[in-house]
Amino acid sequence: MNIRTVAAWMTALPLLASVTPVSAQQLTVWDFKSADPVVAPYIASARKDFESSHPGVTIKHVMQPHDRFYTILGTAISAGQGPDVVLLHGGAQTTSRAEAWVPLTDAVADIKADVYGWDAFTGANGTVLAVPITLQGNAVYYNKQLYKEAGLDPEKPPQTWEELSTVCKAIIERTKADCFVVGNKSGSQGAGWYSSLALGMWSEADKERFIAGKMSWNEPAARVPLERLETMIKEGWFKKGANSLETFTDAINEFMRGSAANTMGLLSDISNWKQYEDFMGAENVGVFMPVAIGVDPAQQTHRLPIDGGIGFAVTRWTPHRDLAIEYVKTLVGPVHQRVFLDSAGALPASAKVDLEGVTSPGARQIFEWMACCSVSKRPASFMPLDLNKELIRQTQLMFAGEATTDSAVKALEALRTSTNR
Amino acid sequence: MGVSTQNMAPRPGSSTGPAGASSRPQRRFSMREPERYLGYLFILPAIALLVVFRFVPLIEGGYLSMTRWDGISEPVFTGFENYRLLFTDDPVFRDTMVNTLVVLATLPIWVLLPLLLATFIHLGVAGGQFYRNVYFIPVVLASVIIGSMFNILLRYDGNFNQILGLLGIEAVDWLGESRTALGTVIVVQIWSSFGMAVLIFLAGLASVPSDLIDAAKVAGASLWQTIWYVVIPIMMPIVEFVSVITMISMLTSMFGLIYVMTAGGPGTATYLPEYLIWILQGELNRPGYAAATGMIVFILIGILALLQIRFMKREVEL
Repeated sequence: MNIRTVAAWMTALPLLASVTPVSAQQLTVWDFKSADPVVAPYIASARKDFESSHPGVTIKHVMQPHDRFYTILGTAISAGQGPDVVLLHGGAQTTSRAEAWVPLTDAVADIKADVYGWDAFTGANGTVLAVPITLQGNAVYYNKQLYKEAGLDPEKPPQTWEELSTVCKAIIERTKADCFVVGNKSGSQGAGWYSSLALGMWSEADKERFIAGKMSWNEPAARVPLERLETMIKEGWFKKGANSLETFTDAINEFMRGSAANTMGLLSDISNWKQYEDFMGAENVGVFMPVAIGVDPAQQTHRLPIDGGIGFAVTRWTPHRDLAIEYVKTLVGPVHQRVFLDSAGALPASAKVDLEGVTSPGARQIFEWMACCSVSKRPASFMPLDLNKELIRQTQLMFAGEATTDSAVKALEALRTSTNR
Repeated sequence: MGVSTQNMAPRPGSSTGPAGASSRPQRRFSMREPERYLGYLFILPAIALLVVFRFVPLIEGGYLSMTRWDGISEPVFTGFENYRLLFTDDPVFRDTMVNTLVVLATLPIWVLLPLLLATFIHLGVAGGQFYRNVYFIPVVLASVIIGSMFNILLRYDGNFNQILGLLGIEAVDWLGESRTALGTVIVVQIWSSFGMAVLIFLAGLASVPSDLIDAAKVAGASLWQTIWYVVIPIMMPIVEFVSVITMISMLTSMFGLIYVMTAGGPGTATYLPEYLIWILQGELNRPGYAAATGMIVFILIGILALLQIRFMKREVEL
């Protein structure tokens, strides 16, 4: 080896050393949220943490348009190439593409107990397909000022059907407001009300049977929630014209401007505690779980429906499988989840989030219920799609005064037992 | 691009004509052959586009309509099963077709209203130019904008009901009740689209000889008699054209308004074929069943358009 060769090697070695396999690695993440100003701080927090603990690895988030996300993702799946990690909605959007994701059951065993919302990201055979980062569900938000005007105790929201009845009668008689506002143009809030009323009386076994489409609509368990909804409509508890109101604009605005005392809202994203507290003042907004129906609320404790909202999956084709799994687990880390909570009001999936300094009474109440009283798999979200669509149509007709419990049950049972599904 | 005639000139001793025939027919024959091929060449791009973007998807759609498919796994060929189910075991499809018939029954309004307005403008009603422009404005608005606008006006506590309230008339949930929802959407669709028909009729009216109208006036015809006995008979081909395109647009262009104004509801009150196809494909993961619905709509439109054209032709001949 002559001196020239030695010199060449000496020059090249430092260069080669800097181009180790790790340093060349870049994880590409496709999502539909990272450029949102209220989400960006959360992503930045997780990304910086991961990059600093993995020298040479870079994370690249690519935000795709939300309305075309699954079309674009479908192209990547067909081609078997694309991002290493993807953001998904819980439920069918994740499970229907199960073949495209790395099974995470073993990889997340160490964090399973510290994170809520797995059901929405678990495949048919119990395989974990993605790691949830937010939770979603329904709760009833109420206007404390209107409760006071009606002579009600604003710190004691209703827990039973009878108490709810008392509240609505008082609101209607003693204020100018309606008891509830529903935006049922899409019908999803009508179906959501069915879910909430059902959770006030169903056992876990009832719910599973219903979700599997094995509960006859003629059974009392399936009928009673419809009967209660019909009663609420006939008693005039809802603001009139529900079918021509949009869920996420009209209904929210009506509640915030005080034309109704209560509204069925969400736990994350929109129509949630943060939106209402920011606008109406935290001291004026309360929250309660769906009420117990025909059972002691102390017995029927698990009434707050909460499921995984969105979560990250690792793609089968990624050459950086282990790194991608690590990054996905980082994203559900309690420190970063707290950033997400503060900036976006997103209900974090991590049960380990430090709630020190969270002053929102609504958020604190929901966190308390998450530990004691939550139930997964909202019936309306997990029931067969076609039955859900028919339930939506029937609730629209009920709000229009054109359907009764009997006619709705007949239509739903006819579809459930139909061969055309 | 010019076509050289030099190469097309008859060659001496050419065998393209009978022996001893004059050079003239020989020349004409040899000129027409390349022209014929050139003609095919010119229409080739259009044919190719039609085949690729119309016929192939149509055939694929036809095949898809005979499958049971969830959009992910392999489609299973089921023959005409989807069609059988649509006609025998699907109340939503049945309601959709009833709604379709209701919409089609309003065709005369969609056509005669703009014809009448265009005739008024043509006959020199005061402010004709102003009306011509105003009528056309909604045509350039997206259906989402129009739908959102009317959502605000027509909601239960909206402006329209407030005006009715001042007149002592009880409020109606125009978009939220089955008895009013479809009619309301139809009225909004007519409002948003009739400007285009007015424009087409005005173009047609421009070709009506003014001396005919003047002659009618001299003969003492009233305005209505002039319209009925002079204008409409001459305008029948335009009426036929507007009727056909309007009928097609009734079945293919109301999705935007329905999506924004009623989401198909309440119940199935405003389901039309397009919306049903979208629900079946986009929400219920039944592309094969959606394709069968699409094929039925395609055939329905084809039959109605043919019947309409035949009927109109007969009317004109009579």
